[in-house]
Amino acid sequence: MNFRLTKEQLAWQQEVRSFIKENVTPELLAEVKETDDKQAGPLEKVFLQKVIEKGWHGLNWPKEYGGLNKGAVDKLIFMEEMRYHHAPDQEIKFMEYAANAIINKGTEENKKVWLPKFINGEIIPSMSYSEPSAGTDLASLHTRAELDGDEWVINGHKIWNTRGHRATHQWVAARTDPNAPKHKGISVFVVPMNTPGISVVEIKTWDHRVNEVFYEDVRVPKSSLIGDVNSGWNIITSALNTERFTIGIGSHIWRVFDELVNYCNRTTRDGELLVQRPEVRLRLAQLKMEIEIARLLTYRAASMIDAGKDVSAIASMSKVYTTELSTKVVDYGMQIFELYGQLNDYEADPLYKMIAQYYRAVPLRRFGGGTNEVMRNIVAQRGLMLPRK
Amino acid sequence: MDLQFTEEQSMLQQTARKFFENELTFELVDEAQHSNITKHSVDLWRKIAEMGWLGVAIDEQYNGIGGSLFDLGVIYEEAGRALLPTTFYSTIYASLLIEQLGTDEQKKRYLSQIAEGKMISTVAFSEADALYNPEFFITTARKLYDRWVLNGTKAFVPNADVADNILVIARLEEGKGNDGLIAFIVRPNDDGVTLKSMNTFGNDAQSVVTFNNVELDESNVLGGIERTEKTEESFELARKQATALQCMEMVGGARKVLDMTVNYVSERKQFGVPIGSFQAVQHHLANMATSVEGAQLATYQAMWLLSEGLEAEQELAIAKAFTSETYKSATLMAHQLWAGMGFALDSGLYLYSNRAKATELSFGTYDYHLKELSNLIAPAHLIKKDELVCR
Repeated sequence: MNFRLTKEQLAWQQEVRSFIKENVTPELLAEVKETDDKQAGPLEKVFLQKVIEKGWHGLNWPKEYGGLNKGAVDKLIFMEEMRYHHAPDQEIKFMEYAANAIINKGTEENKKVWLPKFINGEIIPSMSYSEPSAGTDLASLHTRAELDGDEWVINGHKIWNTRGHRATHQWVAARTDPNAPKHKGISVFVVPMNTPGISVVEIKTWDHRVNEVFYEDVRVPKSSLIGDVNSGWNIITSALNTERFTIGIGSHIWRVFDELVNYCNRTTRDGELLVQRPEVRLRLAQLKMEIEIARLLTYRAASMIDAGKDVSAIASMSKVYTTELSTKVVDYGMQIFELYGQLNDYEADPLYKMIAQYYRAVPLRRFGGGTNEVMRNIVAQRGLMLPRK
Repeated sequence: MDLQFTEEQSMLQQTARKFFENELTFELVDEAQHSNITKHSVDLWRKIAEMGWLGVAIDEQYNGIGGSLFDLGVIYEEAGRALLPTTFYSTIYASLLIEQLGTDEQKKRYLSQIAEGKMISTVAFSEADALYNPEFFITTARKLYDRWVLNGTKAFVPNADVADNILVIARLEEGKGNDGLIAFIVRPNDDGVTLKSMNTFGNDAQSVVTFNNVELDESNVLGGIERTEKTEESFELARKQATALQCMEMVGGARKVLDMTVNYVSERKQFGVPIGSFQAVQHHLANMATSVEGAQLATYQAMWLLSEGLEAEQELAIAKAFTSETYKSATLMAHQLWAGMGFALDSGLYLYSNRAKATELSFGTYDYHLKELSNLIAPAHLIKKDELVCR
């Protein structure tokens, strides 16, 4: 047991921090905010390219695929820093979910064909999982992929797709054997967005843009199939484990907490500095405690990944804990502001609008990547081995 | 960074678990909790001493094993799982104080005896009107020529009834508040010492101990009479170590309650299926498992930092607050899930429920530690306004 970062890990953290300090500029952040529902702007593209040049796109990948072969703790350090400083990381995340699954479960040919394009930024994937009638019961999906000569032909309707309007490819789960039990007839495909027959339609939400993606006789070559035919469920769960571990990293919200502490130290209301109010101090202390627990869960999960252990239960615990705590942090933040919590502009204090935006954004994390109910099922059934029936 | 046990730690854990599972059958625990005569088992004490566990963190020159505080914590966690009688904990707490404050001669004499299982000991700190703040202690020591005279009353002294000696923390009569603390090694049968047992929720042995003109010589002053600036720090450090160790005990108990409850709901059938197959039940247990995991990590962190001789103020406050809530809540949820079966004394579940409450209330409650934590976080984390990042 060792709770301190090693010398190498500390140096790595420092390296990431310096990179962020230099490259995550106010201009970049302003652009990212502006372009969320559109194509990436020039500054974001340059930023992503710099990350790629550093080799950080393949941080955990084995050397043979061009990766840096760093551990999961290093990955965690990287993501914590990126998020804490609000650096754009969506594209990096999605790439990671797909690439990890290919490294873990893909065929040798998949690795040869796809990994180089992932690592050099040529492919920015987006996830085509959910369908209007297949959400939590994902394995009941209806999108079909049928082999026609040398090509797979995909037809179906996907929903709740994040970043499809920006991605170069979709990572599509489709039914390839309608007669097999539902988990055993699914395959995963990597489909270029410019293939004829794909259309993306925006859904406006309480927070950020998501999409419906329609597939009409979308034809892709055989090399688009990831893993073996009908082994898609295994690949999806592998990608989802990475996703849940990643969602558990809540440092953008822990940053909000730090900002709140600062706010309470500089704000006087009704003749009293907020931080001197006993009720505020206790609430802040409680959140501080819970944030520490959330962070420890992510570090524990990373340690287990590095030791080659199954992390489905701990990653699910971490996802639930972080996402539910995130709601508490921003909810309490708005209450600390009292009437000011309603202000929707940056004039009085940029914190007001920022936290209000998070208040709308964070509930998504409680169902994105698998609902927290499903996460609890996983903890109970895979972690505690409780009976399914 | 590696949040997993080393191979040695895993082995120690396994050995301890096996030992306690063999030795602490439910009957023994039950007797220990209920007996009006003694909570202490002489036979078990001897075996624990033979395993070397009373001296895990005691230096080899004093017949200890010379292991780390974290190793001792591993034993505590397993002891908590098995509901070891509390003489172990109070004796170890005393040994930590002696380690911090004792003279070489005292260490040689007392630590050796503790390591060999020849001495049961305890610490008398809290008083009726001063649970945490020694400034308000009424127990005082007055120097009379080459003797010391001790007067006052301590409360909630664990195992004073079976202890060979009690480490009494008193205020120097001329000293004011925290500046003048002094610790004495007192025997319960010394003239002027009277014990009155307290009737406690956890059925553990705690006493009110009164000192009426108890005369002591300088060999009874822990660390001799040469007070240094370090004296108060040493009290504080031993107390922190004991707090972290108790957290280890608590996570052991909480994990055991989780395990027992998982077993229970996997076997108990209603509507023709195990009740553990119901999602409502599964989600309660998933929450419990997450809390226990969090409490365990927070506690390991505090324990590890202290074991490495590092500052752990914030981490310890987090560990004790979170673990208190986790252990207690686990027992209360277990009662809900076990229903009548867990309410019946036969199940033994209540023994954990009692211990969870007793440990929650000692070494500082949730509020106590959150207040400590709030004092630590409030002035820090100053981020300049122009560094604010808008999303």
